[in-house]
Amino acid sequence: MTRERAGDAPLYASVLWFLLFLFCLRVAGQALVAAFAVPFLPPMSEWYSGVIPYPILLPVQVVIIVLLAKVATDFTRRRGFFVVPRRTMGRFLEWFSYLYWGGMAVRYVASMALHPERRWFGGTIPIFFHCVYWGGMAVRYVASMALHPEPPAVPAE
Amino acid sequence: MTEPDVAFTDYALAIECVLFAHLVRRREDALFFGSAAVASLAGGTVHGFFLDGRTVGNAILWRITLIAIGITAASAWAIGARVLFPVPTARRITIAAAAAFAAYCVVTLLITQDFRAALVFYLPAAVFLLIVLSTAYARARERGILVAVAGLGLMFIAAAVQQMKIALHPTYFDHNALYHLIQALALWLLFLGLRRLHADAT
Repeated sequence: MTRERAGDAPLYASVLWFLLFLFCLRVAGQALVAAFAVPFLPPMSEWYSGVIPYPILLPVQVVIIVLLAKVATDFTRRRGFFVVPRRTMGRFLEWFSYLYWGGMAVRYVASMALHPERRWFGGTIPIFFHCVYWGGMAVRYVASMALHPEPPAVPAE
Repeated sequence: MTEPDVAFTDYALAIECVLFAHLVRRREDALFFGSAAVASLAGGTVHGFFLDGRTVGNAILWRITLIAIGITAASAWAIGARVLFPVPTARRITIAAAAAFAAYCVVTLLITQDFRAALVFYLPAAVFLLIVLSTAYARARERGILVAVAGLGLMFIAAAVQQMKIALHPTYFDHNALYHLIQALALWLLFLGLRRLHADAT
């Protein structure tokens, strides 16, 4: 590991913890609305599309929190399953995350075009947090590649 | 949501147990906390969304909860056996616990889904672990083991609080939520004790 890249490790870990923190806020916010219908947060319809019913969504969100915490912990300790680079899987996740961000951009444009009453922030909570989740995946890949760079190719004799 | 306080405390317990399962070193310890995490996640979802026993969600999740509690009990036997007995005896106790767990699965899947079935299966395992850890403490006078004994004692107090329906608030923090809160503290003490115990053993 080069000195510059080793120095970047705390930054990657901090970004991952920050994204996890944002995701936890999102889960807690929706849970508060679902359980107590708190007036200071947007109504339930703003938080999710309804494709996955909330009784399934909430436990899945808890599992995602655990998974992201494991990723961030591994990067903080600089060892563990998620720090080990798996190039094929990593590249797939990186490109899938870009595709996903693109999909979210399309979803935002389509949503605003089809539902003018939502302009410009109505129903954007799930769009934003999908980007946060897949942003975490992309950071994980970029960080593991930076911390464990590919060995230089051996020149042919 | 039907019982948000119970569901949220269950989910918090699940996250805590996953953390402990990740941090312990022995397989049976990881199984103990991991299965407790599954039981909490499934149980929390039942309390939050599927209290009606006629729903499919309730039928599936409640059985998962009961079976996960059974795994926790079986791993408690394995932990206790490993602490106090020589390896061949510990293996026999673990095999017997696994066989009892198989029978328990048949009962909970096909005959009854009453929580008392889980209690009947879990209680002897918890008492066994308490006796084993108390004996280990009497022998070694190690403070770490005493912490684990305190954790198990607190689990019995938590169960008593739940059975006596003692609540902090009838709506916002009922007896089940309080049970989870005490249980979280008890599991933390047990985790600290088990880690210390096995650190000394290695």
